[in-house]
Order: sequence, then structure tokens, then C-alpha cells
Amino acid sequence: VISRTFDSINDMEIDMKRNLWPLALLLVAGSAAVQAAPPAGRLLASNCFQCHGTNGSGGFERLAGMSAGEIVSELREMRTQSAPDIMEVHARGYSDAQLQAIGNYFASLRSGTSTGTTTGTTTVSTSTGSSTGSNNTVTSGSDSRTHRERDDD
Amino acid sequence: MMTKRRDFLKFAGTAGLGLAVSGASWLSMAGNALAASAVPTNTGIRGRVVVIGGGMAGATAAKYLRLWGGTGVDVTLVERDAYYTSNIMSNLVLTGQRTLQSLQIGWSTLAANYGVRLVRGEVAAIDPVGRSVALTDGSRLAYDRLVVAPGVDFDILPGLETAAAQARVPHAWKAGPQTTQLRNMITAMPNGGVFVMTIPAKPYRCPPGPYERACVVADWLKKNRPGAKVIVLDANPDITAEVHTFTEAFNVTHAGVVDYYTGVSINAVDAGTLTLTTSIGNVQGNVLNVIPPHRAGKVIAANGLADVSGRWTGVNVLSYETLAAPGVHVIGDASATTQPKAGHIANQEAKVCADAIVRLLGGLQPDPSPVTNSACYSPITADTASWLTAVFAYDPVTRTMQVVPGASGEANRPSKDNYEQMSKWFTTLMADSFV
Repeated sequence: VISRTFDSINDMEIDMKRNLWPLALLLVAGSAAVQAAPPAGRLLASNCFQCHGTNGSGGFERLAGMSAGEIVSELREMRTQSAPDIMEVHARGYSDAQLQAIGNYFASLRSGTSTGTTTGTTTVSTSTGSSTGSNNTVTSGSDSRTHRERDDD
Repeated sequence: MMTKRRDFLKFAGTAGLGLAVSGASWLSMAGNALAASAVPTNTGIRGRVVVIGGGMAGATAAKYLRLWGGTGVDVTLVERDAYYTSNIMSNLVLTGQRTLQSLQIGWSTLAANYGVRLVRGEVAAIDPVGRSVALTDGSRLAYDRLVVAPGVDFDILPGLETAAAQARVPHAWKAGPQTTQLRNMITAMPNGGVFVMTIPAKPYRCPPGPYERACVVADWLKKNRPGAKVIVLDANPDITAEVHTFTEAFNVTHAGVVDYYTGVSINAVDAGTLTLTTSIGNVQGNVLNVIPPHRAGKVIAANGLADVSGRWTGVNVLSYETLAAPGVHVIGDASATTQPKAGHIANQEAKVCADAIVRLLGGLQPDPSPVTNSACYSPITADTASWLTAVFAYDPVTRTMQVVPGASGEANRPSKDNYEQMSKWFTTLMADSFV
């Protein structure tokens, strides 16, 4: 038992030595890394999270992993509606550049590699919103309709 | 007491295990959000942040400080209650369409999913120079940045000084026991009875909320207590939000049930005879629902932070750092900004604040052009709702958040479709804040 413990301590030391260079590089680069700006568009895109879920994971339409072009073109079209619904009014709050930044951010969540904060692969459905503790009979159905389709209601 | 504890445990279990056992409908979201697996990583940024208050603003701030700041940012959430009760949707408790329990959620999910440290306690004092918070149990929490999110408190009107008087005349403007109390009073009303409610001068929490309450109570009374009336005494010169929607609701949808008076000030309340002394004379009812003028939660004034009208805290809206105390940020209803006091935008203020704190801890400046948005749905009848939305952008000239031209509006008319969307909005908003 003692020797095994000793061995494992040795292993740790070897691991530490092996990892010393990367560690040193990390420390040298530390100040630069700390001052790296957050992902572009993240704070802007977080305006969508209240209704579309954290990181666009869903509630109303899932946005994570959509292409930037798709998001931008849909939001631009919404801004032109003459009898706007809630999202069509909301879309008017952003410049073209801001819409592009939002689109780019959600598109970057496709693989989860850009931010390291989401897997971006889960299909979200809220259709199981049963609440036995309440008489509330309204549940949140998964909304597969697009905003354009909602206009046609 | 036992009921409360049992509810809390029920919710803790539900949120923690992701089982749809019972309770709030947004908890069914918990499993999905967990599966979406937004987890803090190590960003290289380090710091200690204490968040006081776990409502819509404080819970969201704690979550996003960890999610965006990463594992090097220690986040401690100080909360005196065992669970949060949502004010949003609480008017539907008055009509029996929701239970109060369905609006309650704890903070254990924030701890489990994001590593937020929870401290149950009450703040004794903030030391902005030494950068620490003393709790009433004698403990002390050191911080690099402090976020204060205490929500609102209420003025004590003449005649409502005692707990007994307050129980007879509940405001029910902070969801909880008073909501149940008001529900019971409404159901005890006779046919032809009178429900009297008062609206304080703005700013108050949830601008459309009182008008929404008048509508859903009127709708319930119409169906269940024939001949009953809702008298609304508004301190403001006009409807403060969704003017088109509520004008239509009072004059058409609920015509003959809602009597709406503007510019009315309340001088005193007689909780014994249920009579209000007002600027337009005495008004008596079977139920009095007096919503008093608001101020920031007690911790604000108690720590010298009420530098706007003696009620609210002035902040730099790029970071929500107070003008009075460097290192102290105030978000949500307690701060004085051009934005409404409401849960949806409090969530976004919290994200702006969290992003700014993460940048500041990393040696950067806050985002120079933040955007926030306010959105909500309001039930107008038992199965229809309206909506309201506004996008705010930072104006560097006035250094305030201003509505983006064209980016604000309300529903053309209440609809059943909106009512369904309201439920999804609420579920998702609560998950973005607490799950």
C-alpha cells in the first residue's frame, strides 16, 4: 500500500514536470488571457434568452446552432411588418450590425466549441409542463411554428 | 410552517433531480435546461462576488456571473427566505387559476448547476470601504464586487401601521401570504359587493400589473359574484402602461364592472370599516386592496444607498455600479433608471451587470453600448392576454437607457394565442433566471 502510494506520488510529480511548460506558458499568457474580451454578441444575444432559453436552448424557438444568415434575415423581415406582433416590435430594437452579431453568436453555439458553455445539441420541448401542485391547466407547448407562421393565425 | 418547508423540499427535489414531481410549471424546464448543459468553465478570471437578494435580478446575476465569469469567480448568494415566490402570474392566484405553490422556486438549482454558494441570512451592514457584508448572525462575507438586488418595500400609510390592519387591507404586491389573504377576501365577497384597489404614483413595480389585476378580478367577479364592482383609484394622471389595451378593457370588455378614477391620492385607511379617505372623498368596499407607494428594499436606505428621492439608488447603467459606493452594484427594482421596474427587464439588467463585473475583474471596461428589453404578457380575462414590449439602448449623451425608436408597443387586442404564449414566456423567463 505504501509503495503504491509512493508510486502514485511519483506519477504525480512526473505529470507535473511533463505539464510544467504548458503551465508556465499559461502563466505568462495569463494577463492577456484574463483581459480577453467576452465572445462578441454574447451580451446582445442574451436579450433573447428570457424567451428563447439560456444560450438560445429553447422555450420559444430554439436559436442555438441556427445559421447567422437565417437569424438575421428572419429578424430583418420582422422589422417590416405593418401590424407587428411582439417579436416583430422587439426586432426593431437592433441595428443590422447588432442583428449580425446576435446571429453570429447563436451560430457559434452549433458545436459548443466557441464558448465552451453549451453543448448546443439538445432538443428542448416544454410540452411536459404538467403541474400537479396547481390548478393551472395551461402548459407550455413546444412551439415549432416560426414567427412568420404565427402571423397567419 | 410545515407546509412551507414541505413545499420547499418538494421543489428542491424537483429541481435537483429534474423530476416533474409537482409544483411550478417552469420546473419541467429544469430537465431540459440541464440537458442543454450550460456550465461554467475556467476563464482565467478570478474574484469574489456577493449577491444580496435572490429575486429575478439577483438570481439571474448569480447564475450569469458563474456562467460567464467561470469557475474562478466565487459567487455567494445571500437570501433570507427559503424560496422565491414569483410576482409574475400571481394575479392568477386571485382568480384561482394558479396556486401560490406553483409560483415558488428555491435556489438549489443555481448551486447544483452553476456552483453558486447559498447563504441563508439577513444583512446587518454593508462596508463598502472594507468591501465586506456583515450578516445578523455575526458572520462576514468579503467581496471584490457586491451586487444588491433587494426589490421593493412599501410606505406605511396612515391607518396601516399594525400587522392586524395590514392583514385586513393587504397590498398583495409582493407575492406570498398576502396573495392568499386577498384571494380569500375576494371569494368571500357577496353578490353586488365592491372591490376597491389603489395604484401608487410611479415608479412602482410592474407598470401594467395593477390594471391587469383590476381586469382579472373584474372577470372573476362578473362570472361568480353578479353585480359586483371593481373600483380603481389611480394616483397617476392616466393609465401608466398599455393605455390602448386597458382603456379598451375598462370601457368595453369589463364595462359596468370596473370604475376607473385617475389622480386620486390616499390620505388614510380605516381597516376597521374598510374605508379609504381620499382626495375625491371617502370610498368604502367589501375588500380594500391598497398598493402603497414603493421604495427600494430596506437594505438600500439602511446602508446610505438611497440617493435618489431617498427611495432608490442611482447607478451607472453600463455596469449598475452605484454612484455613491464604488464596488457596489444595484440591479432590478431598487435602482433608479429610465427602465421599468419589472422581472423580465431585471433579468436583463442582471446580465448587463454580470457581464460588466466579469469584464472589470478581468481588467476590461464594461460594454459601452448595452441593450436591455422589457416584455410581458398580461391576462385581461380568464383566457385572453395582451402583451407589452420595449427595447432600451444606452444613450451616451444622457448616460441613460432610452427606448429605441419604433421598438416599443402593445398588443392590438387581447387574444387566446397571447394567453398561451404568456405561459411559455413565464416558464422560459423563470428558467433563464433560476435554472
